[in-house]
Amino acid sequence: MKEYIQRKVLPTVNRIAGNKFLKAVSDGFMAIMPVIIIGAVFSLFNSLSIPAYQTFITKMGIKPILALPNMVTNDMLAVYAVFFIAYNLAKYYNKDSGTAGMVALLTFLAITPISNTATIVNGFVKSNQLILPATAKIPAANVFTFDYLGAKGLFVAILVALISTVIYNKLIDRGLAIKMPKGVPSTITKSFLGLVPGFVIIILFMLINSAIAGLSINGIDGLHSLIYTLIQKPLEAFIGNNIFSFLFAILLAQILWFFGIHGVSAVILPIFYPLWTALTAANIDAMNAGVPLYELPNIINRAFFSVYALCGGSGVTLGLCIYMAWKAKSKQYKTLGKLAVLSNFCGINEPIVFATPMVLNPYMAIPWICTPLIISAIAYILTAMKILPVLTTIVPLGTPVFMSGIVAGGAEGWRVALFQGVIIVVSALIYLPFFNILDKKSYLNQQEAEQAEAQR
Amino acid sequence: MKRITLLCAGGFSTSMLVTRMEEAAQGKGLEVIIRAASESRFVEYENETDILLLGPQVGFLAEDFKKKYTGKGMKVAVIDSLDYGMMNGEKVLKDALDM
Repeated sequence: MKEYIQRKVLPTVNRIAGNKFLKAVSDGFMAIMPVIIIGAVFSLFNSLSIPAYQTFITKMGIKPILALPNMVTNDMLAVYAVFFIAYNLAKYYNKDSGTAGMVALLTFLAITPISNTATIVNGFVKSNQLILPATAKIPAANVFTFDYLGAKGLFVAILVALISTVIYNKLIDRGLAIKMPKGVPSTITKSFLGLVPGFVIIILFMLINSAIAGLSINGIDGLHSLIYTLIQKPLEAFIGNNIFSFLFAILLAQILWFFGIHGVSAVILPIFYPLWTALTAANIDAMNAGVPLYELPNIINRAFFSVYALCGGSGVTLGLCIYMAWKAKSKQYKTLGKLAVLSNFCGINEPIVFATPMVLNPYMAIPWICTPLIISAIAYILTAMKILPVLTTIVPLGTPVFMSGIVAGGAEGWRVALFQGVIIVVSALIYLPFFNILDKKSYLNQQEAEQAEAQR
Repeated sequence: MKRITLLCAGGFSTSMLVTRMEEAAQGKGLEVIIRAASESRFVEYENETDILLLGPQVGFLAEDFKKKYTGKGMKVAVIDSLDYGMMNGEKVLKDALDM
């Protein structure tokens, strides 16, 4: 069995986990984390539901300032995503990342609908059968509406970034770039390198975009609305904001970890983070609009994953780790527990994973896979019952337990942190019966070794 | 002087091991440069690495890295998972230098 797994299953899993495109998407979404957090923190301060505070910031004129960072971050998330996904994919191809990111960005913007204020106003006037004074001059400015620049445009951003960078890479490899004679400074050479691929890619996407618009399907006026209605929206509904698919994601990640593969970076980051990020952004927007923390639309989101399912690292091992350091009988596990406990608080638990070990250890397979599933299910139920708030703020990897809860839950963060305390206890209780078997074995071995030593 | 780079998914757990390896190197009076990074950023260090060590959780990348870098004289290996778990800096350093 073990041999079969190592010979047949692992290589396949490796190929998937090492896939360039998946990695580029997850690297891209990791790169834009500061953008999301900055927007979310300002939103939090903008929407704290304390009446006196709200009157204060409104009267002082601070409210619009607090609302601004979210508009240029979460409301424009796709713009950042398209650049950084392309940037990271180009790195795997050993091509100039900045140029690839730039080409992807301009292509993305070229297929994003641009409106004109006059068209908007005229449409409004007509549909409401209003009559404007003859002298009224309607301002005619070209504007990007935020519609597809934010969460709604994330899937197009992923597609554009990947496809444009693949083409960019192919064209440069085929020598279809303007080459500068030797002696021209490399910065200049670089800026010309993007030129031909840039033209090809933008023209291609504009053609596709107008072709789709030309199909004149109801409600679809281009690539953006097509991808959103046909792919992103159903995915968000069925895979994104759904506890069963969430549990499935955790199950998959835990099984991969069981085989020694970083499950989070192999499946969660590339496949589920884009969805959960969109759901988080929607929550932040709702919070900004004054929706109370318990009524926010999406229980499942990026913070839900890192605050509950990853409370103390993959497998929720913090409780077990504390127990090891505190009560393990054998020297082996006591040492491990002490060694690992601090980093485990910050969600880094590789010592526990590889030295207990959780990897390929039949004794630990059941708690290793079940604990995060059980914890996530409890967290979901408590949130649905409005005992825990819906989470908004994304916490960076490495944020200690309790602090992550306080940050992610906003004004109600103390409840989340308190529940993290419960998680530590419950997770430890699930692991204990299984761990005690290992601990006993190790203790017996230790005693045997000591006796052998004494006899010599 | 040997330059060793350790890679994992985020560069967090390898940085713990780096501290321990540096302690071990200091204890033995060895002059080495050791750093940790996330595997996606390795390109930035590819010219400053003699020995490349991968955390077991990203061991699936070993083949790719070997293909790309052994030709350039770089040594590539996956860290033993028990040594990694126990953060055994001394052993990992010794294994790396013995390669």
